Amino acid sequence: MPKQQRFPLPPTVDDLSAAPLVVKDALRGIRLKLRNFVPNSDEFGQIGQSRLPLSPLAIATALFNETRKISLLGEDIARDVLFRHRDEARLTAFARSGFGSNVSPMPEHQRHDFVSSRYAALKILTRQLGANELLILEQPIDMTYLTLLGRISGNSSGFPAQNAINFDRIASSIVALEKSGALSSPKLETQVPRLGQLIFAALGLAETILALSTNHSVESTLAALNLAADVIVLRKPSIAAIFEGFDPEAQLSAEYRLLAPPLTEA
Amino acid sequence: MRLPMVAELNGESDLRHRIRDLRFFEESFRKNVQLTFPEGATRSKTDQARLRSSFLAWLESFQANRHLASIDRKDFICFSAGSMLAELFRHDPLSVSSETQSSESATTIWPEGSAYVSYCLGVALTVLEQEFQLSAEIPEYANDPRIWQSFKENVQDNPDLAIPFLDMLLGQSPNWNEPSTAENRPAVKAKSTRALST
Repeated sequence: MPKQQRFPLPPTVDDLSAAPLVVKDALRGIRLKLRNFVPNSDEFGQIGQSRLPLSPLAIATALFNETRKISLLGEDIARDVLFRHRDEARLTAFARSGFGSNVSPMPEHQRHDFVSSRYAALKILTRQLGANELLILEQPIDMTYLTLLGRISGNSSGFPAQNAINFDRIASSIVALEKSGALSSPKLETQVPRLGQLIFAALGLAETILALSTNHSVESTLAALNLAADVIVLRKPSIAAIFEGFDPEAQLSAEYRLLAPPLTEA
Repeated sequence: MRLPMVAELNGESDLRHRIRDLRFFEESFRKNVQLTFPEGATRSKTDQARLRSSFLAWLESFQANRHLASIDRKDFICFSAGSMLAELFRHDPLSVSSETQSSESATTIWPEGSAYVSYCLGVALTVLEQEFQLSAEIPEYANDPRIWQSFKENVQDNPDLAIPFLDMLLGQSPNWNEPSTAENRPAVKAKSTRALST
């Protein structure tokens, strides 16, 4: 029997720098599992009754939930203040760290900005589209960045004029991110388009809007993400056809060309 | 027929580009509703998702047909305004409730329809004035309640019939048979035929 892997590991020695992301992603997975864990009476027993033994997971869940209740108020306040500032700082890098602008070759320091800003943007979009059950993982975003960097560095021709927006590259990065597993669903999704596809399509649309705009403030970035999510939901049939179609990259690029200019603040 | 937005829209330079901006479209549409139904016995509500769906559907049609603007620019402006009207009817973002029926005007017979028509007609007239210095007269029958009744029935069957209806109000030759096929509009066909024969 093959040995079961407990959490994703960096595929090569060269990618050891991604190791902290693996740890963060693994912890996120555990946290989501604990949050969603609903113990049944056989395993957990009745509160206040001694129907032991409890499983280790049930004990961990009980501890987690009790600790959570006690520290809820303080934690929420701290979270709101600290995480908001951290996410805002990450979002400011969203527009300039993508593959839509004419930066060749992509500087290495953009790698961190690309990963953290897309993680922050995906958090906002999953919340807005009511997909809180989806797990966002940073390591697949990082791997996608490296793949795209390699692809783009090796083929720098065909870029439009200086300062022009490269819709094709934004679309390619979105299709690659969608395939990467950066959004992981605990249950099998059968509807078309999948929630993850809508979220990534909205991410790309927001990136395109911001690339066309001169205003890259946190407020504008949040507004672009909100508007992109609203519009992508209205375009569900088109998004389904794009991801299920023959050439999703070209189709998504055409969709962004159609939608982004009218959604960009004058 | 009242066109309350024309003065406001005229204050907007380069309206033909501004109207392709979702935020401007939403804002000006809501303003038109506000001016069409001043506060009082009439209450109106605009569904944002439906309004945005109208805009997105119109945008697709606009992009698909914009190459025809080079054949007859004036006709293309009328067609684009008609397409916008058709999408507004299709998605129907406005709901109006009125407690009184004071007169037999379009606004009271069909408040939602008259708001859509006054908005699209206002946009078309303003763009035509800005582009061609044309000031079109709205025909007298635009105030005839029977016309509105007939228009309402037709457009409920096929929202695309809004396109030839708006053509009539703008003095443009309508195409009742294939209203959404821009290539078959009388003005486009006439110019294409002329270009081929020379």
